[in-house]
Amino acid sequence: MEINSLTRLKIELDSFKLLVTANLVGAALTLAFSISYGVTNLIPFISGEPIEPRQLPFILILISGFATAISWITRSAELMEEHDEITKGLEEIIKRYKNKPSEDGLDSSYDDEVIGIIVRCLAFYRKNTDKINELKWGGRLTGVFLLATGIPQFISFIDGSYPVNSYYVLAQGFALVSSLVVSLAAWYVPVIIKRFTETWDARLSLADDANEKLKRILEGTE
Amino acid sequence: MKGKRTLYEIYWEILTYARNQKTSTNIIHRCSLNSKIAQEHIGFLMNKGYLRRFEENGQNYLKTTEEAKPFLEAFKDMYLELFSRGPEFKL
Repeated sequence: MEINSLTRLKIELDSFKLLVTANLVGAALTLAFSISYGVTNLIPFISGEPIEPRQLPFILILISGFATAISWITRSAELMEEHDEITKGLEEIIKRYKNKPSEDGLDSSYDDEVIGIIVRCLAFYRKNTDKINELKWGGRLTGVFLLATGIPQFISFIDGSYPVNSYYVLAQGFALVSSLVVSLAAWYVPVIIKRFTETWDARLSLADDANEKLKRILEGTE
Repeated sequence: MKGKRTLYEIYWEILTYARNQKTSTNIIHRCSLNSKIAQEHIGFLMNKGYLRRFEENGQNYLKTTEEAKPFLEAFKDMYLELFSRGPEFKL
């Protein structure tokens, strides 16, 4: 067994987990922002006051942000759950390997277990390619959403028209800057997801080549 | 197992699992296959001589044969290579 394969497999699984976690955090922040701004803007409407036309686009952005965040959280959670099962399987193998007294590395049953994890990873990626690609849009939409809600407030904060409470000025400033920083970070997540999908597409292509060779072995032509 | 496996990945799972004698039911459960598909795969592998059926204590068992070794070895080498030499993703 090549330890290199095991280590790389672990690094990749951990990296993907971080990526999905970042997505979940992005979705949770979008949800939190849409609820907090949404409640503020919808209260007059609920209490019977008419919505002003200038509020309408803002409310539409909030509703779509809320819907996107919910769907994004669900997708990320589904990916995370399935992916966690694979990670746990690999961790169990690593634990067993560490406790193994043998000095000459891993035997064939360990190879089989690690290959089993590789097969599960490939099956996971084949099944979830579309879902993982959709996460890219989640990041972009979060970026747009947070910029759309953050920039007007940031401008009014700077020109002095933002309703600043003198006691909370620091917290309000921090919240606005945070939403802008998170929105820019959300734009970067799709770039990482693209790198991930490119790596896996290339790996699946290699796996397809391997399957062609296996087919020839089974047919007795190799 | 969840996800989409290729035919050869399923063959590998069956053959690896049946290295120690197993019943068809064991294989169906372990490899998450439906009964009809599993019987097709088992039939194919038996025709290839990769699986052997035998009876012990009134129970039918399947066991991977030596003929499956080239397939299993090639599978092992190629799939480990996907991570040892193939493309790499790191944050």
